[in-house]
Amino acid sequence: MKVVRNLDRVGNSGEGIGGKNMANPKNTCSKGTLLSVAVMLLCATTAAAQTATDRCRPAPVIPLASEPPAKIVIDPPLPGPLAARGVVVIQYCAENLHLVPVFGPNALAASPRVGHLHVRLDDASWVWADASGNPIILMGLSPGPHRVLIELEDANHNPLDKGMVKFVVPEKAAVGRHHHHGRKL
Amino acid sequence: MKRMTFLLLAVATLAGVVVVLAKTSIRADAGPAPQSAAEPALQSAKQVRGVTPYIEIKNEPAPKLIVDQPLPEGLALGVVWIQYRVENLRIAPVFGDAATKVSPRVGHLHITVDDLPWWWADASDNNTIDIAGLPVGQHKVRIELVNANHQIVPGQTKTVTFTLPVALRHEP
Repeated sequence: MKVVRNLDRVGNSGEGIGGKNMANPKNTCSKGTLLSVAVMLLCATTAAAQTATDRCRPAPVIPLASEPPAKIVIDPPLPGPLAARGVVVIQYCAENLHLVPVFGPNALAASPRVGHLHVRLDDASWVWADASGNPIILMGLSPGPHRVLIELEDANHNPLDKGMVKFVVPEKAAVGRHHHHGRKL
Repeated sequence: MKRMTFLLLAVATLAGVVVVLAKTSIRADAGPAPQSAAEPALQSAKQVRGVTPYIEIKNEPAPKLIVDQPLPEGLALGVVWIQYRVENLRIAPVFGDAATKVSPRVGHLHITVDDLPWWWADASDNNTIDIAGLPVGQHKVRIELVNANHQIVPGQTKTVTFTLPVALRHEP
């Protein structure tokens, strides 16, 4: 169970932006330990046992007297699509934040708290907003290491929490735009 | 006798009022509000929102993607807000080959910034794409309408080119 907690709240990597809520099994599963098959299996099994969606309850909609701070919980990309096709599917959930497309300063006082995500790939200067709550799906990424920073924002785009997920797009799995037609997720 | 006549009259009047009220309420439920010079007729839900998802459509017309230029209010802040809408397709987070046979048709968008090799899927139908933090200057955003299995709908890729006049004031 401790491994699962670490998976979502690492913060020991000391690199990148944020440094907390890191979904990075490589760092979590005994950095420095020989990555034997047994360790990898343990990580995979434990992570599968409790995913991001298990962590969060459905967002309430009726006003609350008080609400704890918002938190993001991020899973590593789904291993199947990543290995087979280089498609990155990141499942996440938000605690104490109702993800809805409701914006502006007047929405800050809404209860339960409403907000959305800002998503950033690698070292991009820019983000895109996602107010859907759907998994993040990225395609066409070049082979090699990548990272996705996910920020929870309030309705007026002020940061509430953030987390990062790191992953490697396998060489043979990377699919470019020329294969776009007919490619499966 | 006089009292009886009065009572009958009263009952008849009341019945008349009830009938008129009932008719009024039926009319209000059944369709668009009555026209007046000041207020044009409201379009029905189906006219504006399209077909119901509950009834299959035989030979559904080809899907269409309509994309607006970025909103000037956003560009002035260094933010790119691009509104879109679709016809003959519902945007929904439903994926895979089996879902391509769903009727009415479902699909989503693929969004690419500045000819980067990668793109993200947007199945939110949240009305507006929001991108913040791009450097000042010219940019383009390509929006592809795809089916549930990520295949591009022929002819329904729209590219919006614009110039960002200012940088975002605070860290996005």
